[in-house]
Amino acid sequence: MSVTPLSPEQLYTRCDVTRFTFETTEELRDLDQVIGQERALEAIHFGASIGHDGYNLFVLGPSGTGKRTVVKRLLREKASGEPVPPDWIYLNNFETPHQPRALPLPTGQGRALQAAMRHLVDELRTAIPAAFESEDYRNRRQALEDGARERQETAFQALREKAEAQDIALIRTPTGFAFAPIADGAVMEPKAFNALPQEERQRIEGEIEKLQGELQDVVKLIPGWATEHRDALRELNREITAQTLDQPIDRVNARFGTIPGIGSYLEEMREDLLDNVHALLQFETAGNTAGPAEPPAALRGRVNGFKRYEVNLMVSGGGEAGAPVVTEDNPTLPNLIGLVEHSAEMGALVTDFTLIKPGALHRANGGYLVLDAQKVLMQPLAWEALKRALKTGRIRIESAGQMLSMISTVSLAPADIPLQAKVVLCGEPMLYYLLSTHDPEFPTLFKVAADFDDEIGRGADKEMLFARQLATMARRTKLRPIDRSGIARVIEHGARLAGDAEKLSLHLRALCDLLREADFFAGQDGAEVIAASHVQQALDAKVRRADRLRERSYEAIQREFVLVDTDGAAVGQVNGLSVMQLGGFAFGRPSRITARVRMGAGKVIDIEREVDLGGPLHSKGVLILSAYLASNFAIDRPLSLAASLVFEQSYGGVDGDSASSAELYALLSALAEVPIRQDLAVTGSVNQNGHVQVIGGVNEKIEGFFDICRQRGLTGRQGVLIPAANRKHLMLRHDVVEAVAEGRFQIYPIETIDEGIALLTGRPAGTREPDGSFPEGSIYRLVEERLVTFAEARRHFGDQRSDGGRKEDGNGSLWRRP
Amino acid sequence: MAASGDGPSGTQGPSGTQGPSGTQGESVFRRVLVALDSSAASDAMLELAAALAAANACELRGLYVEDQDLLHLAELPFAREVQISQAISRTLKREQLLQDLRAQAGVARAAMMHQAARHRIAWSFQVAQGRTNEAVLLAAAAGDIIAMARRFGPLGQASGFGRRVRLIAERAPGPLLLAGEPTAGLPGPILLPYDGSLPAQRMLPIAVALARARNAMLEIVLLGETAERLPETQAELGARAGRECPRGLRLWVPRNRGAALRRLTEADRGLMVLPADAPAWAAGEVEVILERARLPIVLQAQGPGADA
Repeated sequence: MSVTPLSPEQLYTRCDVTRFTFETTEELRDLDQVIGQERALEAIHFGASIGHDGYNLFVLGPSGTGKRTVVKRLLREKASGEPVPPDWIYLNNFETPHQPRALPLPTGQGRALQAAMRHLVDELRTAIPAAFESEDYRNRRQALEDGARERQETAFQALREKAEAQDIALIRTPTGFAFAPIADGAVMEPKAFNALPQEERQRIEGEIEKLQGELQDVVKLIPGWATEHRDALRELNREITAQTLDQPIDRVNARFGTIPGIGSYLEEMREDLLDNVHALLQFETAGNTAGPAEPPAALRGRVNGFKRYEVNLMVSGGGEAGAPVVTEDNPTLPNLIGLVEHSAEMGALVTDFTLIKPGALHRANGGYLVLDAQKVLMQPLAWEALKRALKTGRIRIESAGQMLSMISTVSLAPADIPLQAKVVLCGEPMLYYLLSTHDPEFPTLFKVAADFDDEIGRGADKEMLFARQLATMARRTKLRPIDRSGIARVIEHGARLAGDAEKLSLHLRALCDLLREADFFAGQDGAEVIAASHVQQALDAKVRRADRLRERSYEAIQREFVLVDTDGAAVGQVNGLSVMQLGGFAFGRPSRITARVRMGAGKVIDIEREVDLGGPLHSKGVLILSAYLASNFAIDRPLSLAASLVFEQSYGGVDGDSASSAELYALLSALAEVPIRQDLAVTGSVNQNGHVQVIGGVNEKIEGFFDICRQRGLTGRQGVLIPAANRKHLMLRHDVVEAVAEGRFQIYPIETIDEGIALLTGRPAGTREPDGSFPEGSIYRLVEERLVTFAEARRHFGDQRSDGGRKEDGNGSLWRRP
Repeated sequence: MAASGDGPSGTQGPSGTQGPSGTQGESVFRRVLVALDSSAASDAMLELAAALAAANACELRGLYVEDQDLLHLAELPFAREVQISQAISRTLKREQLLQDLRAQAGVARAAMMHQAARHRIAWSFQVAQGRTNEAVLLAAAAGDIIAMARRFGPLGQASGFGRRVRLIAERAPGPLLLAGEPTAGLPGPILLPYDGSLPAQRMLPIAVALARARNAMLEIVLLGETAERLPETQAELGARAGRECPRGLRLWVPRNRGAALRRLTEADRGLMVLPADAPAWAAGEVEVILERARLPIVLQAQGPGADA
């Protein structure tokens, strides 16, 4: 049973440039759609078009496949033919200022109304003070004030004159009025008063008492007079204000009054102005002269100044063509549902309806919102808020503090705005599956999944399509044209990225990056087109930038700090292969796998697992090979083997079952006590029947062992055993292919363990003969004999135990019964 | 340019920077002494006084007087007061009164500090005891302008206001600024009744300085012979004041005496500079103006015996 090494042609599937009918990509037309995503595109069209609740989209696919770009382009195309949604504004609520009202306006009218109201307020700001400066107003106000003063003055004057007639003066004290006897224009001194005759003193006191009674009566009237005066003044102010503001307000009403809600708002605004215009002007004047001012009592708890009549334009579709397509790259809670900002005034945080800011949902209302699912999920409360908005069909602006009921500062509760938007989440497939499983609301809100593929088949037609995709990308990113050799090299790299010679990767971002880098090198060469050499240069440079750790790893092997033989043979020792993935760079690395056996209770110990360095898949592989042994050798006897397997000098975790065939070879070698060739490395998983199965990273693994061998000098005997099924995945480096072509390195496709062990030991594996035994000299014969010996020895020890009270534990160690 | 009846006889705008006496930029007052209590009239007075001090770059000095008449009243056995806020009568005691006065002084001082900070001027504050008028006169020095509210002090409301003010003005070392209710400090022209006499001529530089400080027009109401020899007066005043006034100079020729008095008592914006000793005044006319005028008034009087 001999295995034929693979030919150089089987190691690398070239892209045949002669099939291309173009010289450079300039001759190729742009692709309107991305290639290989028909299923996803169909889903997107469906999801975007269906009008029922819950039909939002989740676009899933690996990162870099162009999901977002495609989704946005498709949505923009669709949205361009749809109506522009209405504008939305927030207005002051004069009754309950903490609950601003939301109003929809016909498209484009929001900005017009905002400008009209600003103009109206500006007009009132100048017209109203002018009206109050007018001669007419001043005269009427003066008359009112004179009247009020005169009424008070007359009352006091009468009292004063009555008092003065009796040499008594009305005196102003710090808090009121008093009467005192007068002498020589001054209050009589107590000594002088006491010197007066008794009757005179009594007369004065009596007069003063009477006068005080009258004074009290007058003073009692003052508050009433003041109220009357204020009422008269207010009425005058209302009259003057009304004369000034009716005309400008009517103008706005004539223009916008037919819009529902605007007419009644303007009427409320008029009433508010009539009542508060003086306080508003006072506040503005104080603010202008002395910085931020304390609002007058009439305005406390309300929106300050003329700001209260502004229009807060949340969303305006004016000037847009079609429905909006909004992308929010930072979907925090406020960026999503909007927020109420605060400003600091006199040491306190205050807010009003003009500080309500829209979120992405507002901007996308009536259109489409594209979000990154992972980012939404990572932002506190954003996911909950998004779901609630979709479920209720309304956008409610709440801060995180409010949602968690943690903060109870004075804030606003703006009216909800109805939501009619299609939300498109983009994310990794794992997120979609996790949400589907763990969030019961998710399937009801995101009913359409658009699943992006990450590879397509590689036929002649597909390669041509791929070439057009590359041409489109190059043109859109303003790169040089690519000649057909360059396209062929990129296609070959696409297959390598896919890890499959018969597939092409749809990881467009990586390919686009490669084109950019190749374009850079083409520029350095002064070339007008990107050729294969530039693509190769870009690939080599990328590897060079990333391979410091690979170099260190190989250096450790060359300096024999890490023991890996590439020549000779050893019992129970084989070269396994693993892949190290560091960032975007992967490389293969050989490791020595050893096996040791002795008599035991049939357990194979995976040392990696014992010390928690092995993952579950690795353990599974070890258990499978244990089962293979137990079912193929000495099946009529208990498996009396204690074996241990280890990845030597492995200090990190090991997972995957791709080394299970190598481990089995090491175990068979240890049992048969037949040495294994060290100039070969092995990869492949194994099943219980001894079939070698496909593994991942085959190219990197082969190249890893090749690099070590090349550094030590290729002997022509060195090579790698790979699962035969992995043949279709081979897209090896050119230097490996060349070495194989020159007979300095071999790749062996292995179907079964029988083939592998024969190749590794140089002896036949052996097939059971009619008598059930393996042929003399075969590996399996030796293995079985050893296992029989262990079983016999174990039985012998069992007898000893019944005589001597000894028992063997599961691992073959001995312990004494107490 | 002649005119008959009421109306401006002509105006002359500023045409240079040099004043008649070459005193442009010099302050006509050394200090503004403002008499304070905590009334609204006092607040208005303080605002006007602070603006005047700022315009003249001089010190603002506040004076609060614990009035002797009030203390005497509190010592009388039957002393009671009616409180305005509650319309109730209560016994007035000296200790309580002193407490109220000191609180009022504190409020006045705070208001003073606020105005001084607002206008960025040097200021000081003093509390004195005695009769209000005497204490104010005692605190005043040469170069001061005394600012006080009309009807200032406990007995300010008493009859004979005009006469009392005139008496204070005669004893004061400088001019007297009266403001507060019912007058308001609204911007407007500086009004000067002018008869060409020495007292009137003495007030002319003050009026010009105020017009300059307040960026206002100077309006001169011509009295007596000045109206009769209008061209000469116009030339003389134009030369002495016209170029100094930023908003120009306007001469007003009243139709008759009554019209002149109406103009002076009914104007409601600006400020009046009143030479109380001008011979053109008939007896009692100055007191009538003082009683009725709605403008703040800068008054100067030297009384009988002064040079005329």
